[in-house]
Amino acid sequence: MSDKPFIIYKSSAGSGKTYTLTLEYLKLALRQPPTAFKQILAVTFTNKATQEMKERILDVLSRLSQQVDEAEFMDQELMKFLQVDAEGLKHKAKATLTAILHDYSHFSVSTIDSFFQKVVRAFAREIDLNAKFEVELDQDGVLERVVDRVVMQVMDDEFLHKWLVDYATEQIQNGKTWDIRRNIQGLGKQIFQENFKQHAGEIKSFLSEKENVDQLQKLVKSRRDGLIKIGKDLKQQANEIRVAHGLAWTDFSGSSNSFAKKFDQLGDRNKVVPDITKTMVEAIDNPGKWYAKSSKKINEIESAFQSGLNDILRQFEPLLFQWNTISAISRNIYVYGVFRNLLDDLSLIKSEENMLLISDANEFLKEITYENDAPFIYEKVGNQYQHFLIDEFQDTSGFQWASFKPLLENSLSFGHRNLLVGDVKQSIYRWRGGEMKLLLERVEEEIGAHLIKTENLDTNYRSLPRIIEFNNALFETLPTSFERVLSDTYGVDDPSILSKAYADVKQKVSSKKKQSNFQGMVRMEFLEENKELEEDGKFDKQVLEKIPEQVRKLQDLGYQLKDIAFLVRTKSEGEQIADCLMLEVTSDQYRYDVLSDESMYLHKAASVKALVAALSYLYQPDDEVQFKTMWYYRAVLLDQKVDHKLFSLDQIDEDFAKEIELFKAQEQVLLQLSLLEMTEELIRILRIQETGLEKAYISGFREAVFDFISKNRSDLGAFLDWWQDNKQKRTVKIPEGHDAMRILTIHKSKGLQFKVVLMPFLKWTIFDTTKDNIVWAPFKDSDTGIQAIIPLKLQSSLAQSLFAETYGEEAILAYLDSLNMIYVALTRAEEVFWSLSPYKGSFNSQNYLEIHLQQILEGGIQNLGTLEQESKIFQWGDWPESNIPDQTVFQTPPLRWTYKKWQELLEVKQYAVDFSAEGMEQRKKRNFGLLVHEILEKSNTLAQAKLELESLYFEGRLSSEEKEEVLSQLQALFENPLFASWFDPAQDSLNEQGILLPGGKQKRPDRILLHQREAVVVDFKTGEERDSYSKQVKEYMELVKSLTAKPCKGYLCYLETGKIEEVHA
Amino acid sequence: MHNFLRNTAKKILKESESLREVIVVLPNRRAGLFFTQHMGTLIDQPTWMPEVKTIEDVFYGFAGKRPADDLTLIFELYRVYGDLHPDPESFDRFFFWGEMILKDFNDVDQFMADPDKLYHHLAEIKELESDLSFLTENQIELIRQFWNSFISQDKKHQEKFLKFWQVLKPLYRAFQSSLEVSGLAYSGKLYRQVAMSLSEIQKPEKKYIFLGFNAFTKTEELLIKHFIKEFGAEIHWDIDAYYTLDGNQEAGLFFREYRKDVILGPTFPKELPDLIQSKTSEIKTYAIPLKVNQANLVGSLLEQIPDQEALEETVVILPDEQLLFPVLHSLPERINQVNVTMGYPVKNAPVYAFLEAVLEMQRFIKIENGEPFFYHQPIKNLLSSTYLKSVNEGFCKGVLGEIQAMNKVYISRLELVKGGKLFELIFQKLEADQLFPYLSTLMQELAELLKDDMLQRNYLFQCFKQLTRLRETFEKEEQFSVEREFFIRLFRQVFQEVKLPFEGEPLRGLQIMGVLESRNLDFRRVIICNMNEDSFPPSAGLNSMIPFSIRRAFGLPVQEQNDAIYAYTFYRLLHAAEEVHMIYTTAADQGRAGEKSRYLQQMEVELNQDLSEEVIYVPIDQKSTEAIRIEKLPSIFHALERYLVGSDGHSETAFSPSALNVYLDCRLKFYLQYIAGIKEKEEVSEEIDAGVFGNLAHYSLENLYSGFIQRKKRTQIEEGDFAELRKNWIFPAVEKAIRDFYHLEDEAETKLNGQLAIARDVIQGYVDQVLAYDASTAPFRLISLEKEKKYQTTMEINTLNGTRSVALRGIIDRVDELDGVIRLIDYKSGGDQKTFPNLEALFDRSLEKRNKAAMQTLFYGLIYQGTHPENTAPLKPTIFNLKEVFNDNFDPYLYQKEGRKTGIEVLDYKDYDPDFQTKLKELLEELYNPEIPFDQTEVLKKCEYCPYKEICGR
Ligand code: SF4
Repeated sequence: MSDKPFIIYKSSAGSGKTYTLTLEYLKLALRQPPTAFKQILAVTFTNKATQEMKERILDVLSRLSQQVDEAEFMDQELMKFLQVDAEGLKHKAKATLTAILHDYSHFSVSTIDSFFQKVVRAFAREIDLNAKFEVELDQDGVLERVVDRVVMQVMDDEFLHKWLVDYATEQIQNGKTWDIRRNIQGLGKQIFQENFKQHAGEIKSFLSEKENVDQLQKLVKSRRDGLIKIGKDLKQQANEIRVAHGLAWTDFSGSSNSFAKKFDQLGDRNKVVPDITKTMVEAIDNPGKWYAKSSKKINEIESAFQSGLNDILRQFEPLLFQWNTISAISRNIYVYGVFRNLLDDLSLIKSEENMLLISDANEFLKEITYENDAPFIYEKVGNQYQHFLIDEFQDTSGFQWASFKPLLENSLSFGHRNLLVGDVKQSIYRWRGGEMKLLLERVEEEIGAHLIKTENLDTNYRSLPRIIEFNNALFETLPTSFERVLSDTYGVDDPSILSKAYADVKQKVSSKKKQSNFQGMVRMEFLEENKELEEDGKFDKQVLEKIPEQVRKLQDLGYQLKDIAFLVRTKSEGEQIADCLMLEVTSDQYRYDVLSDESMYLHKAASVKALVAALSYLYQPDDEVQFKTMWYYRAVLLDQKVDHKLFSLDQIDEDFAKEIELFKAQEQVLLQLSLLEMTEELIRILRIQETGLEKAYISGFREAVFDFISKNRSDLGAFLDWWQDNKQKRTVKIPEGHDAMRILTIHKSKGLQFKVVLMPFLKWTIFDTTKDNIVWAPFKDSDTGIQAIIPLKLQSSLAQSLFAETYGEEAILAYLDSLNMIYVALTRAEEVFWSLSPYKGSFNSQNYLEIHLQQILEGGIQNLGTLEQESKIFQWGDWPESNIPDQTVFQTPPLRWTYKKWQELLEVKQYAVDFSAEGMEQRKKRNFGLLVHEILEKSNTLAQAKLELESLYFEGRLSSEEKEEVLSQLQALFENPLFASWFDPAQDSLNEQGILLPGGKQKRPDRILLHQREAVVVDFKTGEERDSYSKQVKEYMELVKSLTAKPCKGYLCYLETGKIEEVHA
Repeated sequence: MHNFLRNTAKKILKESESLREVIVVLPNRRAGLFFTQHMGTLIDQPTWMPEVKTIEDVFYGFAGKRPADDLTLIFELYRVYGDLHPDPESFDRFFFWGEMILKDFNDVDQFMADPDKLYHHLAEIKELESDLSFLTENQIELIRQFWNSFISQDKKHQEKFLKFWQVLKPLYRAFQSSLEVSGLAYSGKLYRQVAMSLSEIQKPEKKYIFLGFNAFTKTEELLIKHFIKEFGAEIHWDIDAYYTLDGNQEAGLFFREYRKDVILGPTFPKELPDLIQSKTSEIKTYAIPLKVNQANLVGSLLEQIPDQEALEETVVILPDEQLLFPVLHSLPERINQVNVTMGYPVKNAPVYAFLEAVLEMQRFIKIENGEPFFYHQPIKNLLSSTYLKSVNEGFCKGVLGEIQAMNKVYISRLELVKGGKLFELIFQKLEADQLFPYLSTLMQELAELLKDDMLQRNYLFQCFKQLTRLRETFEKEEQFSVEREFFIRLFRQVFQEVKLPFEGEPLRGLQIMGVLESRNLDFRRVIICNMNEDSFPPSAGLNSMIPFSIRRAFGLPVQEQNDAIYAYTFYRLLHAAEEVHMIYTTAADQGRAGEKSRYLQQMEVELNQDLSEEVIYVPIDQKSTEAIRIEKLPSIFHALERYLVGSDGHSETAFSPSALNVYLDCRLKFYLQYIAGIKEKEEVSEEIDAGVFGNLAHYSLENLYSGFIQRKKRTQIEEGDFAELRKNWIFPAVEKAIRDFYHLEDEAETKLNGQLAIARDVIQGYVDQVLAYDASTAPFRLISLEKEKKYQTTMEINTLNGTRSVALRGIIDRVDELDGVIRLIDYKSGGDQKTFPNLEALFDRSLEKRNKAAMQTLFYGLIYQGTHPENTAPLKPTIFNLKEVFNDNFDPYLYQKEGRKTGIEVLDYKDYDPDFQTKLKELLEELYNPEIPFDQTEVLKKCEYCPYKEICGR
């Protein structure tokens, strides 16, 4: 065993990470079968990865327990590590496999989140959570409710009112729409981010004094007014100078487009200083730049320059700096003020609804692991972990690491083996809190290098040589290319983290792939926009034209659909691809089936639209639009004509009118159904399934309803709101193995691989400042001493402000994100990577990925060739030979789609005085006869009867008052000695047993008493006296007589009246 | 086919002289029913039935007592807890903890642990270690292990743990005594009591036969062993060699233990049945992407049941109760009888949603002048519910309509109670202590309403039972004053858990049941859904306050035992099954992975049977939607005729500038809005969106100026007038505008609230700014302010039926005269531009940013001149864009401006008149051209705020 117990595997793409993890897991688990596996916690990033990992481990174990293959690397490693022979390994594997399968709850391969939740649950009491909290994943939904509540309090909170009024006014003054909720919500999302939580303490204490925000606001306002005044003054001065020299602004260099016109823009209350252009910077202190050579007013201009215009121009920049700083602070200041209310109401809602936000789990865990010793935690959780294997470590967040650290340290202190696996280059989850610096450097710093052994997995087993070669070459260049932009454009001092992260990017080709016939191919096409074709010439349009061609080409080569994946950056790109392929017509030769968990939205299907419209209509019957929408999509589904008759309100034809009438007649009935049934009924009434189309969509929608009601109550309005918010998350689900092309975002593609990867929209903005992302930055005003952590919107103006450094850091991270993103994308392909990007003849900014690619390829990438001048295509490697496989047909058992009204089939048990018609009747009349009956048939004595009565009371079927009434009724009955004699404990009674008839029928008189010489049968009745009753008793008497061979007496007893009637045989 | 209950019945029948002398004890009541049923098929003449009991019955029988319900017990517990704890949490926060503590106490008693030793303290560990009489080495080790983990004392959480841990021992004791006093008990207490006094039980006259048990609690074990040893009781095991003999199979955990027991051991057959391995069954697994599709698959599997086969031979096991209704919906026709044995959550019932909404309503009530006003949201929910509608539909619709139309945020009680008795009952403001009787009456009223809906009534009854319990408990415990919020929380917590027990005719038809309900029953065909980890077996809940090691040390069940019980219920189903279908889902969403159940994995590796797995694919087949084109049928022309001047010189209606703009934006939208007349819904909204905001500002200005005219009896406004206007008249003008708009005229005393108050404050700022601008241009003369005057004209166009005259009409926000120029003013709140390149562009529907405001104000010129043909003064289109009034150089006039050229101010509409008329005529002729259908716009931007975008799918 290595003396350094902590191993960090740096696993570049395709380097057999899962294989390594499995191997490492088995090394630990097989050391001491059968129980060692219980002491390992393997943590993965997603549910899917968890499952794969589990399957992989079980697969290997089940293979090993049948046959150890000494030629296999894994088997060799294991034998070596465990120091056993093949037989020994087989043995250990078998024992471990059995142990895992039968103690599956201890097979701890789980996601970070579910492990954390488990711990948090175990400590619920200690951290003051309720015993049965729900983990809430839909945080936006919660926030929405919080915002609603806050806005409702407007009048009760003076500060809140003021902030909101000021805010609304300012919004409109700035020419923006006034939508308070949306804005609060936008910023409110921050509450859930680690970024915020890190500063939460300071922020909360700042906000706890309402005056603080007010003061900050005042500060901002006074600064702002000050700056406006300065601006106005400068403008006036400038104009005075100009006029004094007899000049117009257009006399200056550039004439009607002269930079000098900017003097006139000074002091605008929306933007005190206009943007500073390059010309202006150059013009400072340089009079020659102020006039055209041919100008006739050179002297005047020179003189104006000297008299102060130059000085004023020089002030542009510092002024802009201050203005940007103040604007940045003020941008969110009102909402910031509201934050306090948000935080308060959030904690109220959490306790009211008994939930734990998923984002809180990390925070709590940090607290728990910090507050407790590892053994205590294990005791509480019920699992004693000695080894941790953490996968995808680059995506672990700071909080998560902080939570794990004490546990790891505990394990390391015993010299136990632990493992981190990750790849800085594949860190693309920063927006979810992923902190790749941990893997890059911090873990080593914090744990100590003396404990750590770093292994670099540097062979790529996934891809063919051409792909690997291309990636090796590209990622040697791209990081530096990015770094250059960072230094040049964003003024970043030290962007070297990019190269550092990519230092180990070069991969070896595996020997197996080296021998492959086909060596792989990378093809990047750059498309030039065709201005003449207008719309059709645009890049997107061209791409959508090309996609079907690409698909056909690949099928010609013999690729199956499931070999092909489209990678996109945004879901909407995926949506475009799905929509475009949906329109292609399947032929014998070509198919276009796609599947995507991210792009094929349920709400796009006609059937779902019809259903949603129907539900919306039922909720708000005066909404004609919904009503029409419903019928319209129904018509589309059933191939009916779409014309004036369908839409008009008074011209509809008879059949349709009838159908509408029928529908309206059922409205009330529909509304009484639970949501799921309502949906099913609508599917039936509207005949939506009749054509047999769109089954996957209809099912998907039913599933959505199903999911909704499993969490919420069955409330139509709430469902519609929920659907509105969640429809963008609901897509068609298709089983994995299905032969169709995948469309997925780069984020989701992580960990996956495909023979062919297509990237039809290979282009994006690298540092996108239009997304309203928020960063928190400290601000301190030395004059007033005000100090706070301010939420800033990431905008390019921050570059020239007090927050320039924060901005620069964000830029680095954004560039790193992009770099990682393209790395992940390019390394998904096993055989072919084929992309389309727009070609730019000229460009101003290098803030686009495609520009970098274009530049690098145009310059030639090592010895792999250059971008072809004519065609604008770069290709490394050749197409493979066509090799069309035999098609296997895909068949599954049929499903039943017909809807059944089940109500007639099912009975629900009735009880005395329940809410059935009779029950209600009894309840009203306080008629407890049936209840007394129910009690007596279960009792042998008065004491027992009282117990039964007690039970009914505890069930809630009776109030205490009613209980008393029943009791007195019982007692009244028992006052009759004959009656009481039936319940004499001293005798042999058989009522609990009754009489069984052949075939299984039973006869159960209420009382059967066996005396020495005779038997007695009693039957209790309620309600009207009836002749037929005595017939029944006679029947009983016959039976009892024959069974006991004794004479039998029979009685009927009416419980309400207490009347007893002897029945004679 | 093997059938445990029948086989045992047969045996008992053979071996017993008289069934009368036999007491059969089973784990649950349902198994008893089946048992008797089987018995009946085995006899040939009437006979006494044996007494059939559950083990519970036996214990409670000997104890002479029944346990109280949980709610009562938790309350009792809380009371005791309050005495012990210096600062107890509120009851609703305690509720779940109480549930857990109670469960722990129950376990402690059921498993006969010594509470004093179990709830010991760290400090007492030495004492325990020396207690040789009681604890084994192993147990001491476990206890030590736990407290060792506890060493650092100074940690906050450890201390917290100690704090509540220490309460438990005294709590247990105090709870016992308080129960003694009140005569109440929980089931474990009764079990322990019986188990402790077994020696006092007299030898029963009848013979006890225990059937089908798997896992005993300690008390059960003691009792049963006692009965076997002392009273010659019998026990029959529902068991198979497969999992019993293989020491790894958790399903056999208990049996293996019992087989080693001196007393129980001999009760096992020498030769264990080997049903699972010895027969060949058809075992199939299905992977399916969605949960609901399991129901479709179950349906098709049921379709394949041969006609001659009895339905009773098939069972559908539903580990997730939610799936019940989907499965019922997919039953094939031939299934004519079903028995459902499972609980279904009441919270899924619409009637429950209604009850919650009723409570929700209580949370948002404001009182004005002593009258309660209800917040619109819950009221809308209630009024649109079927329960109120079915009572007085007209009324509900009326009120709902009013809420919409008047944008009412609060609705007064006085108005709502007009609906009738039920309305009077529902719409009250309640004090906390009135909630119980209120809900109780309401539930009964609702049940009355739901005459023919047995199911819903049953849901209600389940709720009612809970409510009665709650009420009883609260009424007894006077010291808990219930607050409303607390009540609502408690209501939610208690009711979320209520299930409707389906218990039909248990013996007939297709059997649908939950996992645990299948105990002891055997079926030929077994269909199991949700064969996923976390469903079957269910996820391991951590629900004990007692740490694992301690539980283990004191013999309380831990996860291992739970796992064993579930595994047994699964493998037991294989005893008799000849056909097994197991369905699991693969979709991983909502944080749950679609992980295959461990049982499937175990079977794959270990069971020597052919397992086949199929992946179910649900076809997509998306229907493509074609573009919508509405051809101009004759009936459409009928509708269009209304805009034409008829023989009487009048038209029914006229084209407004907005109708024309709509037509220009999208022909289909024009069709849907003006021809088909499909009204969009109006929503009550407190939110003041841009549109409403603009309207409010505009009404305010109108109020302000018309007020001025009335007061001063003049239309000329001088600069000097503004000071007063700005000082005194803005507030009332704005206030009035808001009240008019929201129909709050009658409620003069009501203060504006929430968003409206904000709106008012914001608008005041605006109006003031407009006045500041107007002051700077004064003097001017007001000619008309909106409503007073309609401007109209007509225009000749060529149609298929010859030349016709089209009516054009418009309302101009404000017309005034400034320096001899007539200004046609429109107030705008949007981002409207004030420049346009040329007239063509105003009529060019392909332009994304066609300037509608310019089109509209020029149209004003046309109708103004049409109305006043004598006019010679210049007509100047003017747009007060509210967003711009704060700008330093606010300029409301329209400019014609092409590209980067300098704009030319539009000084007089008349300069544009001929060209404008030509373009407009072309447009109208197109509208009346039958060849041109109403189709969808190609500019997607136009769809963004279109009310019909649902229809167009845009
Ligand atoms: S959604 Fe678009 S196409 Fe449809 S009616 Fe509205 S504007 Fe026209």
